[in-house]
Amino acid sequence: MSEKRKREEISDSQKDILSGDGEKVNYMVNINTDDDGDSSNSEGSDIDDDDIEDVSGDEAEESDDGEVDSLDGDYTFDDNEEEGEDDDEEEEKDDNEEREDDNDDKNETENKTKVKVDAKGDGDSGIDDPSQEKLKISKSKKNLSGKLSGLRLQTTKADNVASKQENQNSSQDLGKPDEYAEDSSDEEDLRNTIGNVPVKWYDEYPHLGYDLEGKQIIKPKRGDTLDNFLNRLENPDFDRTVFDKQTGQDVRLSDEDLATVKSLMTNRVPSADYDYYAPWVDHFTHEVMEMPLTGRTESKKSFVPPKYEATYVAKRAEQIRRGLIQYTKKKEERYRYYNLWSDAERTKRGISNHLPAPKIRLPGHGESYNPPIEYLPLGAEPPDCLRRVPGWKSFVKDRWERCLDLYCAPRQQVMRVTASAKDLIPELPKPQDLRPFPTVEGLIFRGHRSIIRSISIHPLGKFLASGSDDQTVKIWEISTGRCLRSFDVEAAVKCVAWNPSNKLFLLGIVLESKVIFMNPETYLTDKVVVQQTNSVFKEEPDQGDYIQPERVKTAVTWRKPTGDEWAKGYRVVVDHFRSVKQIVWHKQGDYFATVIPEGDHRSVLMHQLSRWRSQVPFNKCKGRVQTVQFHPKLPFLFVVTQGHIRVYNLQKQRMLKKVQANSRWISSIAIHPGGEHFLIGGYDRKLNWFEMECTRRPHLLRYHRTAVRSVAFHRKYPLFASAADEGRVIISHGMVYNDWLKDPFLVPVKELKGHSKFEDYCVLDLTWHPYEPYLFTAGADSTIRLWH
Amino acid sequence: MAEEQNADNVNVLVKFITKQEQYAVPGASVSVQADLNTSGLNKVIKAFIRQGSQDRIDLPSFDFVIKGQFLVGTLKQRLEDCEVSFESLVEIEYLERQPPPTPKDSLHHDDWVAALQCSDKWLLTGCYDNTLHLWDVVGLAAGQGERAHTLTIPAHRAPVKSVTWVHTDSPTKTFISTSIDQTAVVWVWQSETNTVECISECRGHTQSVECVAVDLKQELFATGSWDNMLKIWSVGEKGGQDEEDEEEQKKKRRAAKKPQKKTPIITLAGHSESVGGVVWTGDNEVATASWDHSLRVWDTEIGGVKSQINGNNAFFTVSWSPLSRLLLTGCADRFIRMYDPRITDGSIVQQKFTSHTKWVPSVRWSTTKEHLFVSGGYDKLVKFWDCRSPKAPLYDLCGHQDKILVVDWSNPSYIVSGSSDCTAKVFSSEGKQ
Repeated sequence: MSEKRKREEISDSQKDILSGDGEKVNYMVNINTDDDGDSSNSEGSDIDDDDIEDVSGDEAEESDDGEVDSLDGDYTFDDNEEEGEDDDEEEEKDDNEEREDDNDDKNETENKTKVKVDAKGDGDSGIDDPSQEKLKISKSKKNLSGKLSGLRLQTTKADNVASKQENQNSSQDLGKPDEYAEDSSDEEDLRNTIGNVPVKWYDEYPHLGYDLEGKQIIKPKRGDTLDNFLNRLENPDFDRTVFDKQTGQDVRLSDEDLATVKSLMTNRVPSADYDYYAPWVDHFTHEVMEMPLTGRTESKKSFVPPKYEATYVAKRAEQIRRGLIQYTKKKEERYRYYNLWSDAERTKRGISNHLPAPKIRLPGHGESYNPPIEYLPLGAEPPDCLRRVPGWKSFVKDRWERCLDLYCAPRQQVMRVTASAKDLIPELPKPQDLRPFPTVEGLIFRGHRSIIRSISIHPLGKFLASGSDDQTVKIWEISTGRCLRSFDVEAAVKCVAWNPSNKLFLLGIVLESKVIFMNPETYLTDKVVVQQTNSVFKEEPDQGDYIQPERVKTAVTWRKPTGDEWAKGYRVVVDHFRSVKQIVWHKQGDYFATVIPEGDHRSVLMHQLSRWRSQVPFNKCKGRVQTVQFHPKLPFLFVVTQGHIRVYNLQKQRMLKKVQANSRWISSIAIHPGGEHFLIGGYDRKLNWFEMECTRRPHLLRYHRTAVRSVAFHRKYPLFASAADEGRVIISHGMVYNDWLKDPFLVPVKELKGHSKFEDYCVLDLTWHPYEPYLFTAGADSTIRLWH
Repeated sequence: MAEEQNADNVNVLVKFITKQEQYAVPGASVSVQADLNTSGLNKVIKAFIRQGSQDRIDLPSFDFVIKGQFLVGTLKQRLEDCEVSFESLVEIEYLERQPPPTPKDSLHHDDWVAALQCSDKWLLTGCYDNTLHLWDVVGLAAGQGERAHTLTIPAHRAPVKSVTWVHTDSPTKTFISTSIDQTAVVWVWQSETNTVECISECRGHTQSVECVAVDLKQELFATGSWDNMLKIWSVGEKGGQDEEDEEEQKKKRRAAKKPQKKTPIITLAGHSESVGGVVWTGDNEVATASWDHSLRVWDTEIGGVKSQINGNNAFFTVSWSPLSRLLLTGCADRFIRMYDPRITDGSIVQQKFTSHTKWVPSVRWSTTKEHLFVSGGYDKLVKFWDCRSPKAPLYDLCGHQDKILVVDWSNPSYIVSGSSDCTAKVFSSEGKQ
């Protein structure tokens, strides 16, 4: 073959390629479809020169891989192919030189035509065109590589491609390239549907895959080695025939394919129609533009600080470390103007606590210019202008007022107490923690036949005495509730009281105007004490030259009991001028006081048991005396009238204190064993806890619904009890502290109910056991109850 | 054997053990439903026993002890209370159920029965009307009722608070009674002639003598009183009496049949409140329960406190069992508490028995069964307990109309209770037979 002829041939083929013949271009495009996903992933129009280079490199590698794949499949065949290619190489090198020359011309013309076309479309075409050109190139490269790996040829209609290119153009006209314009994966003309799996999986089968209808594609018959050899000799196209594994067919490579292969092997642009010598188009104008055209991220290079900077920083740092550079403090700027609005300035000016203006409400639907239909008022049309918006009127007004408010209104923080009623109630401990205190009824002492007015527990704590309206005095055993002795007396018993002294076994009994001291000669206490008591009262004490004052003489008469009375146990009888209500022992057991409510100025009488002497301590008694009580430690006497409590010092014979009771009608008093506190119960349902040092502010305890009859403190435990006519006895924990500033700790712990009512009376008296936390209550229902 | 953990029907692997050999079963473990109660378990164990031996057909009911406590509800509840896993092997001890005591007789008195003790043949009761009564237990058992009443002794000048037998073996029997009249009196009773003689009157307490107890050798007795004292006296004539006028006294006694006046061998002061219960816990060792919230164990030789246990309520009574060596106390609350006198640091309540609703003035251990005891409360009930069942007594013995003041189980066959309804009631503790 002469060279000339060859050239002609090649130029012919070149012409074919460059003329934009449908088949050729189509080939380029369509191979792309064969390629796997990564080629379609490549970013369409953004690829620039560098990328192209990279891509070509990558593709070349890929193509190698493809070859390796194919080697696995059919080694001999590939060998042949390579040989064939090698043979062609020299020829093609020459060809290429020729072609390049031609290409220059052709490319020029083509560019011209393209520019023309673009000029029709848009003004920007001058910039877009070259990129498009490049795109093509890259695509064609990819296509080739795809072809090498998959070795699949397809022919489609030229129209398709043309329309595609048009599409591409039009999409670029819009300014945004359609990245799927060249993606033809949808149009893939699949014959074999096995997908992207190694073909060797089908080596053992007679078929090599499945067609679209699911039928097996039977492997076409291949000749043996001899056939192959014969074929090699006979077939002129043998060296350009390759085997398509997917279809099992032999494919003859066209001239153009060969050209592409050749150009790839020589690391040139695979597309044959690439013009290496195309005139330079200035893609990016040399003029500096304000806005960069590319959104390209800056290259990593630009982030690397220059070396001199690093040395500079290191130098400075070293200097600072050594102390060569010293930063002096900035001089404070002299205060000249203040920032009216800054908080710091405000505090400087004495305006502390900047209060922000109240926040304005967020706009709602009323302020919305274009609310959704469902938020429009019924039957209303969406407003046609802003001032018709329903919220507009108030909006303007609100803004105006807010501005005024911000401008004029001084702000002040109002301390608001947000406390619920629960928080204000002091935290009370659980009653279980305050044990022991009586909780249940332990025993009922039955035996009396009428109202029991008074009970008294002997200091030994084994037995108690009770006085009743049935004109008996009974002595009870506490542990069993057994009545041990019963004494009949002449009248209803108003009050009973054991002598607190352990030397005397004596029970004081109040019968109308008589006060009787009885020695109940039981075996309850030491015989010696009983005998001693008897002996004390055997003889009338020698009065000496003591002359009883007239005032006393008319009020009180002491006498020895008669023989009968002595046998009954009476030891001394003290007759009063009017009926006596109460007898109260002094703690030593020698003195006692009696209360005569109707006694006018002689309501309170003091007596001395050992000398049979009486005394009227007060010249005047204001008000009706309710009760009296001795102070447990000091020689004080508490005289309680209806509305007042007067505390007298008996030694100095003067009044210590007059306490205005917080109650209209006092019924009873109990003095704390410590002597610093006392408790007042009133018929007006109130219970008041007084402190001796601060009597003006009693602690008011409103426990009861009806009149309080009786109150009592326990001698050892911090307990007190109060009984009222409604039948309830309330046990409270009353802890006092040595610290006077600390208020006593008063907690009601238990409500005891048990007594039944009799003529509006219920519990008439209560008393505590001397050392156990037991409470005894005497009821109008003629029972005494023990609570433990 | 596999455990099925169904939602509502859990099975537990149990092993039945018993100390009563006649009912022993093979030691294999069985799986039973966890919601079985005592009767259900009874069926299981009976079937199990019958399986072992064919001939035994009549079987008594059994009670079951799990982790030291009686099974009351279902097995499941008990295991949950003990926090025992359902998956572990549970040992169930079963024992023949104590037959319910049967009421035998009601003995009417003229006043509250405050004290009683039953010997093997004779029942001694003390009354609030200052008298002592003797009853024939055999006659009672025969249902003779009032005819069993043997003797009334107008013994004291005040209500009798406690009585105790001393010697009961010979026809000449000795007993002691104490009273509010501050004395304890030693009596000798000739059962053949039915005559009683006061051999000595123990004076020394200054207030009511609340309790009396005779030591194990029956030579000494201890009395506790309201005057906070514990006094030890000798039963016989030796010791404690003035040597000088012994002859004189004997003469006097012979002449006027006057009782000998006795003085205590030793007086032990220490309690700050009255002594409510006294019991001998060994030779020369007395335990007292006092209203001052303490239990004390005294050494009568040295005359000092050996150990003290503090409670938080007044103790009314105490009972000691030589079998379990534990103290039972009745308190001024509704609980019966069990203490171990050997553990003295702090107040260690071994067990608390809750069923009474009011004060418990009297508790008594069984003299023959290690775990059983009876208690009488102010809630009119006598309760029959097993100490392994602290929440519920085995039986409630009803019948009394008023507060129970005293119970006694000195005669293993009879439980006797005295009440403020003026009766003493006798229950047979051995069931119907």
